[in-house]
Amino acid sequence: MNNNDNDLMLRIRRMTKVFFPGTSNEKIALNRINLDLKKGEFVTILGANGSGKSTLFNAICGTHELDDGIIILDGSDITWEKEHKRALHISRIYQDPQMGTAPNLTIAENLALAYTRKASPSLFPLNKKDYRFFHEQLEILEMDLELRMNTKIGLLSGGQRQAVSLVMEIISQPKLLLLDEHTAALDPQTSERILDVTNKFVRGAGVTTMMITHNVKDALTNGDRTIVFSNGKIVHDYRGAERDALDPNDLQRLYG
Amino acid sequence: MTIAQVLSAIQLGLLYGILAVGLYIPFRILDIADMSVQGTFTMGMIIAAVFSYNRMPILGIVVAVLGGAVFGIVTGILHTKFNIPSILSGILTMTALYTVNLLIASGKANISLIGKDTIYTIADRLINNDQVTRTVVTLLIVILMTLAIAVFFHTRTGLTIRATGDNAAMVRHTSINTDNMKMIGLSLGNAMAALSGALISQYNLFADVNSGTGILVVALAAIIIGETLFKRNGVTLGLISTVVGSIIYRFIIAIALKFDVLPSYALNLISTIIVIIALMLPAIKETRERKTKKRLHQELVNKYLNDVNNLSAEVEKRIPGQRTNGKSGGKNE
Repeated sequence: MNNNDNDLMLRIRRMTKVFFPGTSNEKIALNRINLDLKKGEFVTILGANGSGKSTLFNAICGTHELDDGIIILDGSDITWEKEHKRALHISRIYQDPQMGTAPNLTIAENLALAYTRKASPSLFPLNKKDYRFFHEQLEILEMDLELRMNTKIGLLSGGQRQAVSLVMEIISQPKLLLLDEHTAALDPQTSERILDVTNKFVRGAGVTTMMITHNVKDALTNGDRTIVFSNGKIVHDYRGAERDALDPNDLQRLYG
Repeated sequence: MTIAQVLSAIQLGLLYGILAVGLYIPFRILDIADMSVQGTFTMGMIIAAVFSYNRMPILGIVVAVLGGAVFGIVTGILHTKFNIPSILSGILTMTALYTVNLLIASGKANISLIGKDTIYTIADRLINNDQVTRTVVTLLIVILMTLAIAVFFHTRTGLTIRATGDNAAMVRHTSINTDNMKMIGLSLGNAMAALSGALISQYNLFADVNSGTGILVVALAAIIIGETLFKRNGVTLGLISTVVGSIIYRFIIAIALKFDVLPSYALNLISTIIVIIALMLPAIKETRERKTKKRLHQELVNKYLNDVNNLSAEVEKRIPGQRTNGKSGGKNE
């Protein structure tokens, strides 16, 4: 068993969160969730609105404190750790491109900020070495953003901002990457582009990843495992051959 | 204006420019309207005066700056650790400081430094020209301060403070304690306010516990005038434009008082009006631009109403940027 434990990046046991307890609006957002993620695993998450997907992310990040349950990240218990402390190991990208970047800072400054977690401690954030590293990472996007490193983020389009967010989260080398419908606000082409880049980064860095999406096809074609939420519970957990055999149209019915 | 008046406007502009920078840091960089600056400014005055009175003018300035920094942290703790709204935290610190200042001054409302040594009298022994000393010493301090703060805001910590004012949630997700960043910013701002007060008391050879009244508007005026003239553009330029704004403000005040329309006690009213006008300008400009466009449009429509083809041709002529239609292959977007 112990050997097996070392392969696990995230272990969640009996994770429970109730909103408005004791009132007529009481809602069990997370109902005794158990979930294990292997190191490097890329899991996609499906589920209707209000089924508990985002609450799961908020609980893992520490935005919400749990009513009950245990969260173990890479062998250490983080259940009661403060949000900004966990952020050292957990990265998250939101649906809204505005949320992940500081609009009045330049691309380079935003990257430097994200990299502060992992960069060698230097007085000035934009030294030559880091600058070159950021340049290389932006090149992977193939969006010519490496030529505009001194442009304020606020001047970029939503897709470009989301792409920069992705680079920011990847260079901070998280143990866990949470993608919260990060392509939902983008047009189909840009969305596909960002998904491509996501795969490239996630596989390249081998980072353990969870991705919430409402696009059933995206959920099945990306990653190596798909879980389905309903009413605060995980109702399906597909992987391997079973997952490959799934028809997106069948899954679509789960939303009904 | 005589040369002495011009120099005095520049000197005062620089001295209050330090205060304006002290407000600029919380107000524009952290997006916190920090009222405690008013209290720490007066505290700087009183501390420096008490020390100068006891023949320690330079130490007085240092202690004043440290005192300002401490009370900036007090505001920061109230705001971040106890979730008291930032405006309220500032007001609480400012009000408490009134008593603290009286305590420092041993209950006296004002302190006169006539005949005592100050940083200016010490420097004047080398230069031997009062006006030159006042200008050079003040200018030197302002340049050093602006440079130091500008460099600071380009360090890792400085960058994080700027980002905290820009998108605090994102900074928290970067695993940085935004509370500490706000505290550093508030501490730095109040330290500058205290430095400004300290130098002004030594400059005027006088400190009064009531000197802080209306001082926030003076600092605000400097920031707004600077921004109106130089646009909002990065920290370094922002700091410089704030100091320049403060000097321009002093000239406006000097001219306003020269005409003797209003008595000298009308200073706060004049300051307020200047700030209001500066704040109104963008809205007035926008309305006027819209009116001009509408008028031109109306003229055109009246002229070509029955000839829509010609109308569209005329409109085409007016669209800016279309005239250089050559395929230069310049930058996209």
